[in-house]
Amino acid sequence: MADREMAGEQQVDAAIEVYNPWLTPRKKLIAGGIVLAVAFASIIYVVTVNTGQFFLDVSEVQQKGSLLFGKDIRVNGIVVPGSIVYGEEKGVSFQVLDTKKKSGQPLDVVFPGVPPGQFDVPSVEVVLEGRLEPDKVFHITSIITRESRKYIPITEE
Amino acid sequence: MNEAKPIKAESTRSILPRLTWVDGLFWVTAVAIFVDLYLIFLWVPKEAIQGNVQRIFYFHLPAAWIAYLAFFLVFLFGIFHLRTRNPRWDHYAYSAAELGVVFTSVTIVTGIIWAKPIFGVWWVWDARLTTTALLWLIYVGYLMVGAYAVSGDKASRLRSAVGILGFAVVPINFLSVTLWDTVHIEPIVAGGDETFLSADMRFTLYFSLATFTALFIFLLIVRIMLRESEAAVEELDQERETARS
Repeated sequence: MADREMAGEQQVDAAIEVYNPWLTPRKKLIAGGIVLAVAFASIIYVVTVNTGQFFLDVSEVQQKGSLLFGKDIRVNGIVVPGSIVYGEEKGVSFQVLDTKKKSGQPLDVVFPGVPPGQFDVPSVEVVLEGRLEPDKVFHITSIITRESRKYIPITEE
Repeated sequence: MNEAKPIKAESTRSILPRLTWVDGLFWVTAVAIFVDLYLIFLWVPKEAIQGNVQRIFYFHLPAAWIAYLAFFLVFLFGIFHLRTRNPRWDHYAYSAAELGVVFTSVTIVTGIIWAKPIFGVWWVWDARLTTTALLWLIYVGYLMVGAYAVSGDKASRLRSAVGILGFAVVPINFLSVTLWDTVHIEPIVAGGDETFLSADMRFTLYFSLATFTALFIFLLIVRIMLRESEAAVEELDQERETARS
């Protein structure tokens, strides 16, 4: 049974080779493998670049200073408690601190939109995307709040 | 005069259906699912910051773990299949891959539902989420190989190769939160001093993991049985075709 199947496969391969030598299963497999490998490599490259090179902490932003003016960057920080000021209609300004040091000089941030629901949680960690302008204020276009790694149960229930 | 035929001893048979160990596993899993739902929605306390949405955690994490287990089995059975050429290993691997895709889908969907209220966005292309999407695509591709390949044997060998190579993404996916800066948080279980999970939350998580594992084993066994029946029917069809010609 298996031998017959193998012989059948070989006949199919031979027939394909006569009509179109580029479509033999072996060549298709190699081409598919190359495409798959390139796809993997590109996705990993994109992920590494997007999340590694441009994922800065507040202290790194302050160190690089004017080098970052006008560039699209992604910054990770902790919202300084009590620094949040909402605009009259919309928009919000606040300050963020370095996530590792949790101290030092805060970075001023301005966001024209509506922040996400978890934004008001004390000392929430945020990932901000936007541009650092020459006034040293970080003008952002998006806020992503990170969840805490501590799950605290509500005790009064 | 006709001789009286012996009467079968019908009355001595048990009226209870004959239970196999698969039936037993089904009932154990079914009861565990109900207990698990009770623990998740009624017993475990609400999380102080996230509120009720945090309960997704007890589905999201076990589903992800089971998906890893399923893909590891695809990898293992794929090696056995390429070494022995025994189609039985391919049936096992294919069944595990189907379930791996299902559990990865559960992980992605629960993650999306959880992300919107917590991250503020449905999806973000960080390393963890991107590699999870990649993992899902690889194993959907694995399942599609059978549908587009020229012959059964060739398709199964190609599938095994995809299953073995595709498994390389699993450790990348697991380590992505520690290798790169991601929006997705780092591990909570065994995460050190920076993490906290109360005893009741931990118990619910482990119970949920055990339930998902039981469900996975049950579904895998049933799927393998079905796949082997499909293969047997296919073989009979081929034999009939050969006999006709």
